[in-house]
Amino acid sequence: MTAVISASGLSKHYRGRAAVADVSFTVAPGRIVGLIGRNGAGKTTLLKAILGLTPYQGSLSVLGLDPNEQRDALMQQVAFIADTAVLPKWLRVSQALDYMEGIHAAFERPIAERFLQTTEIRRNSRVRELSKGMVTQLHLALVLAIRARLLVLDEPTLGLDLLTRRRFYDTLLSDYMDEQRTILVTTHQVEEIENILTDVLFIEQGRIVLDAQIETLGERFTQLLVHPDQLAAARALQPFSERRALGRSVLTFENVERQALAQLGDVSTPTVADLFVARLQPQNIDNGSLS
Amino acid sequence: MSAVVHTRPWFTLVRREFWERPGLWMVPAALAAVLVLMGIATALQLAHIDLGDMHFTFNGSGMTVTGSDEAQGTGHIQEPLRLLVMGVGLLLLTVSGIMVCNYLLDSLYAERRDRSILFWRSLPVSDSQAVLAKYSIALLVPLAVYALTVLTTAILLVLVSLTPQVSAQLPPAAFAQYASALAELGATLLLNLLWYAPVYAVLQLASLARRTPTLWVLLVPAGCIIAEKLLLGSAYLAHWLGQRLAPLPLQGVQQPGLWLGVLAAGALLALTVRLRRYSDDS
Repeated sequence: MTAVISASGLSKHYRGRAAVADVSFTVAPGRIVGLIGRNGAGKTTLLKAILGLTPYQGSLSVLGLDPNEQRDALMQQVAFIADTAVLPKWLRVSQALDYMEGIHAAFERPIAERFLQTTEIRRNSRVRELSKGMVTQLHLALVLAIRARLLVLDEPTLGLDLLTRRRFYDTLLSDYMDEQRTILVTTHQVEEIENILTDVLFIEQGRIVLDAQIETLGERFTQLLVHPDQLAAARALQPFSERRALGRSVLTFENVERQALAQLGDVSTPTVADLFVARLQPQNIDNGSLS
Repeated sequence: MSAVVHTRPWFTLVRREFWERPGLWMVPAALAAVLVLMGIATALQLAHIDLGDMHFTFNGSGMTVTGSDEAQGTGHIQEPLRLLVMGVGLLLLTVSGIMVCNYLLDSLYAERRDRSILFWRSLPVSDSQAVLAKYSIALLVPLAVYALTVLTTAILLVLVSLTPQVSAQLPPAAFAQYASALAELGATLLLNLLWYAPVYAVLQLASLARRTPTLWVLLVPAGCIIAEKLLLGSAYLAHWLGQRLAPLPLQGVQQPGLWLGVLAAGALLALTVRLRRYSDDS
């Protein structure tokens, strides 16, 4: 099985500052990968490199193509939602459908039409007349109807209400995903999508700080809730992060036997959000002066 | 199983431009409609007014209007149908020419201003397709306006010939005059589309500016002209620019500048395609 995305030594500098620094990773087909990082961590830059929207150093292959050199061929098979506000305001819904049909060989209009029928979006409305949630639905309808092998989503639900966000991801799972298709998604709202992700990539200051499959998180990481009297013993097992919670301490360990930890307190598998915080804010765990 | 999908990228890309800017076809069409309405109103008035002994006489290439009494006198119009074609044609072409220039100056700027470039770029349209489709609007609109001119003047001519005072006098030579005027206008238009090709390309290139393309396209030449005046005391650039921006008469077809300009337009377009590639990358 060949990788959908394969990056090796990928870097991107903006005016001397590294937005992406020597990044290597692969994404296999059929995966839903969450690219998670803070603002300015390099998420969007990495996506832009993958989509051939920015030049880069290092080697990068997307669906076997070089995004810099073969962008036009690549975009036949890749779909992309930048964020909620990129559909032009003057465009009518019917025009959007006509345009996609005229431009995109892999666009199947009936799929988009069927999806739009489940919404309140009217064909003759202009984008400016639609609510933010409806614009996202329209964009989703257009993208779902492309038989794209890779779907790249950059903060696709930013600024939408909870219900619309939930419906967005439900639709993705039911109408888009299959074993041939791959999704790469960035978002701030990790909690909402962690149950649909198969893989996570944490990015911080342009570097990948965690590359893991969700199903292996339980084997690899353990979260320990420990009382102050056991804290010293727990710290001896070298957690990579520690924080205070309601009079107890939450320690996160990587590759430490769970049985050993279970004797010191309550153990659990950290959520993706927990892990993200633990990775990015390890805190000072040496002197114990957490406040 | 899905059916084989036939895409029509050029047609779709050009159509997209008219969706975004319907004024490009609506304004010339509305102007032409106003001219036709004015023609109808005039014809109706003429039909109902007793003009007495007033006569319209075609003699040679001109038309003489003779009044019933001395006070009204006699008027003579040189080549009236040529005047009609050129009047209608130049009015429509000038208006649409200004609109096309504005359009080009905004063509690669608007998509970044409203961030829709991220949508357009998510689709399999190459930069050369996008740039050339937008550029072709600058050629298609004047050609369509020429067709509109033919239609408008033909309607006006029919109206004139329906007016009893004129129709009896309309000789075959008048129609030859009409046809030759249309041919001259068409040839001049084609020549000037080539002549202005580099100007169009410059406007489109300027639309890649990070902001205020209009300011760039005005200030850069103005700055160069002033610098030349201050440093060298000459005004070659201003002179050359003045020549370049003035329409080319039919005799100008032999000018080497015409073909050099077409080559320059090609080079500018190639540059525009290259620069658009990463135009929204920051």
